[in-house]
Amino acid sequence: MKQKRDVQQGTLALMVLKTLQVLGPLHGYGIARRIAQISDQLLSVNQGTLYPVLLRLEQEGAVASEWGPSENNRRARFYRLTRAGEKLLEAEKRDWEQTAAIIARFFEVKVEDLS
Amino acid sequence: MRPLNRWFARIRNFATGLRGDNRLLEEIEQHLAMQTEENIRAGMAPEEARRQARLKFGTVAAVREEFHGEEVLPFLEHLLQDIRHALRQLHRSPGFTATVLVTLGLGIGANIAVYSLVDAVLLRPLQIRNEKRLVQVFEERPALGLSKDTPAPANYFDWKRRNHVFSDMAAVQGDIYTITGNGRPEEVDGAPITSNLLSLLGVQPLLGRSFTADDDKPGNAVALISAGIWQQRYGSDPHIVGRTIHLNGVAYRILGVMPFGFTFPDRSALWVPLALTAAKQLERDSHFLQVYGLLRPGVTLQSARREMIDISLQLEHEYPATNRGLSTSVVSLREQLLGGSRLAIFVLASGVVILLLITFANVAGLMIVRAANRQREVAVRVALGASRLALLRQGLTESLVLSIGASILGVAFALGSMPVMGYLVPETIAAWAKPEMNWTVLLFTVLVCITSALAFGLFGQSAAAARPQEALSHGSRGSTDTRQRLRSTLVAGEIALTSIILTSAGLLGGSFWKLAHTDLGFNPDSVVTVRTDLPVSAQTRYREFAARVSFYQRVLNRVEHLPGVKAAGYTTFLPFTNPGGSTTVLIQGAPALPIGKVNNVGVRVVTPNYFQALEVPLFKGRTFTEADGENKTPLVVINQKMAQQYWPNGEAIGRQLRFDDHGTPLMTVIGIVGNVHQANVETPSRAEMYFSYEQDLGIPGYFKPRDLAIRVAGDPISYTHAVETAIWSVDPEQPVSEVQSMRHLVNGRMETYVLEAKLFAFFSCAALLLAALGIYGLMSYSVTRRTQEIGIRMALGAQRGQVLTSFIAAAFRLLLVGLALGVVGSVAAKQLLGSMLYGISGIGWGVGALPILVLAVSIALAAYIPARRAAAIDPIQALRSE
Repeated sequence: MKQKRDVQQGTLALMVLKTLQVLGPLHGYGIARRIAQISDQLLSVNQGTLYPVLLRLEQEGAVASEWGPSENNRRARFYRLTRAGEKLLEAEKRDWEQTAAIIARFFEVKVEDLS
Repeated sequence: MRPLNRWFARIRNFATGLRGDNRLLEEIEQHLAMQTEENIRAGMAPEEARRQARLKFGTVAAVREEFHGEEVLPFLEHLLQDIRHALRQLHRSPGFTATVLVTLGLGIGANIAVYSLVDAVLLRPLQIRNEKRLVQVFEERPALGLSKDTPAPANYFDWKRRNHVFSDMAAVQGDIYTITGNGRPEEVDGAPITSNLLSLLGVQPLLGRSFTADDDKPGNAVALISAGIWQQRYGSDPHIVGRTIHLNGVAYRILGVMPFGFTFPDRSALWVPLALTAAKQLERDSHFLQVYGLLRPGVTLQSARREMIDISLQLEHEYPATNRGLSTSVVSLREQLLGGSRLAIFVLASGVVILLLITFANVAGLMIVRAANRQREVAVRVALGASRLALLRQGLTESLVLSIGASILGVAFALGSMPVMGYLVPETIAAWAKPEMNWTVLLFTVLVCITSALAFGLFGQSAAAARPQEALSHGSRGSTDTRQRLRSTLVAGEIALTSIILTSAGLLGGSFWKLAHTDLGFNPDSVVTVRTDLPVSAQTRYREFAARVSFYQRVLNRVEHLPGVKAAGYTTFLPFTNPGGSTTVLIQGAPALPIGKVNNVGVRVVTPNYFQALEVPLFKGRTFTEADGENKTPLVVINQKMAQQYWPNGEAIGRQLRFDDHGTPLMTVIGIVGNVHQANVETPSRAEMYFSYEQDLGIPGYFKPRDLAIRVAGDPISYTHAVETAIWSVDPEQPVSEVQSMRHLVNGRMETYVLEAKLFAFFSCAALLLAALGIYGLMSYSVTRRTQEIGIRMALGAQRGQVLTSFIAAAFRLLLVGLALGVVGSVAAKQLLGSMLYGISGIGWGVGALPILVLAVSIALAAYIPARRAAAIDPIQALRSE
């Protein structure tokens, strides 16, 4: 069970960064909702797991956070992407694309063998 | 970079004890509120909305934990928790904790103590800076059986002038001084040294200065004192330089104080200039120096040896009268000082490590039982989600806490036993190499601590239940059996190791007993001994034979008239002072010897009452009398060994022999005395000839009598002053040295044997106790576990006696397995101890069998108590109980 979580943590972080890049500064709830919208199956993962990920990203310097007023004038903690976060996102994106390409090639080979 | 940032953040948070909890809680609260609002907007009732929001979010507690896990160093936090938990657990089972702490503490303590000894003697560099290049140079005279002999001054100076391998050479003499004034009269070892000795060694005085070449002239009454004397007799006076010290009645000016612990050579507390007179420097016939050399950089010991041999050949040519057959040997200083103690220390270290292993086995057994008792608790925790890693970590933390506690106890024990360890340091380096608690020893302690924690900690874990449901249900037999088997294996191992220690102890003890009870051929008790080495070279008054005879007569006359003196006699060398002193002889009437073979016989020149003084028995014929001075016939007294060797079939009395040298007279055997151990306790006696001190038979001056043995009534040491006075009344300038009781001389080497034997006896008792406890614990647990089964058996007709014997038989089966395992080790131990043991072939297996018997009896006893409990089981009770 721990292993799954690890993988999800990595991908979760990526999704958080992308979300922040696209939508600008958001609070935790907002990020959770957007991620839920974009990837429906991850909804089954508890929203709470987001917060440790946010903390980690903050410690790494990829995001920065501060208190601010939310839509309903509640006090919420807003997270935004930093320069370092942008760079990190680009790097991770490249890695993912590379991995996807290799895996795709493997699948292609299988199809050719059959024919 | 990323992980590094995280680490810094973690450490920072840990240090400040920060919990970002408050912020997180607020965030979570807000999150839930927003989700709830959305749920309400979607149409849910407020409570339902809240509940759904909560479900969607997940367990707050888990999130908080994980959040916190990112914040700080979870490892350290868990560690602290585990330590607290472990302490609580240990507190709850005081019996277990106390047992482990004490046994482990003793085991670890003993190892620390022995390691400090190893460190002091073998590992630490000596206090002497130039130690690595320092050697000692000896004279060798194989023809006379003299090895590592003290060189004569003239030889020393020639070596020094002619060699190319040493950058410097220095010489030392051994002497004893009486200090008077500034306290009570005290006798100390002192060393006249050449002025360059200290720079040769690379040692500087603590205060003041060392000798210069100018000081090294006769008549300079200057001295260097030890730090000990400075403290005790002069109260650590900062203005010590220039003050006076009275040595043997002469006032010496103190030039400086030597550093603490410096007692080179042996146990010197004083150093004065050697200051050989011009005459003495030319003496080639008087051998009394200790010579040291500093190898030039790049020169090996081998090349130094070769060159010294070459030089001694040259000297042999140039001075045949004194140097014939005289060669040299060169030994590294460390080797010279340590000698055979390396093996003894190694043996000791092995013994103590084995003891520690036995302790581990015992504690491991205890850990297994403890783990068994906590099976249920562990199962519950596993069911609640504890990871294997966390459990392992907790278990090991408990072991570590125990180990640390035991190590602290061990350190205390080791500190207490430092003085005992000090006794095992060879005398030659005793003052420098004091076993102490230094960084190396502490590091060793830490290593042992960690090793022990792992060693038995893992055992506690291995027995942990892997299947929670099984542990939670009743009567979990399966894992218990493997556990019992594991414990049995451990106990068998303990028995094996114990048998090794016991065998070694038996061998050492037997060897020591044999040593102590060997018939030396003489009676060393109530004898005081003294050496007066008369110089015989051309310039001295004792160059004439008659002058020497007169000296001996006058001294003996004075000494024998002292109250309490029963007999006194001179000899060339007292037993135990020189294993050599022999020459070659030709037996009259015997067939010629094949080429290369010689009759090598010991030579001693004695005064008539020598045999009485040492109580050497006379078997046939007679010994010398004063009248033999007038006797024209050359006489010789031989020992039994010689009689048996050369005249096995007939009468030795009246037969004749002569030295294997042209022109020497025929000598007639007049008496046969008992065999004496000349060399030491272990070496049996050889063929020995005794000559009268009054007959001038052309025996080399080297064999002149120098050692005086005096049989007295009462304590020998109380006579030393009177004896010295008597000697000085005959010749006030004759140095008197080596004053000691004969018993002290004989016991010299025995001390280490005694201590080693005692230590191994202690190890044996400890090992035996531990093994017995191991068996007891195992049996006891087995009986408890099998109570029901035994009850059934008895109900079905088994007799009490049968139950009893079955348990004892089980114990004996273990004993046999252990012994079988231990046999290999025991044989190896015998081999290892081989050179340390005296009369080892004679000891044989009788001595080895006795300890095994003791072991068997102990095991039987240990098993008997639980076995009796088993036999006393009431079947009905047993069947009713769980």
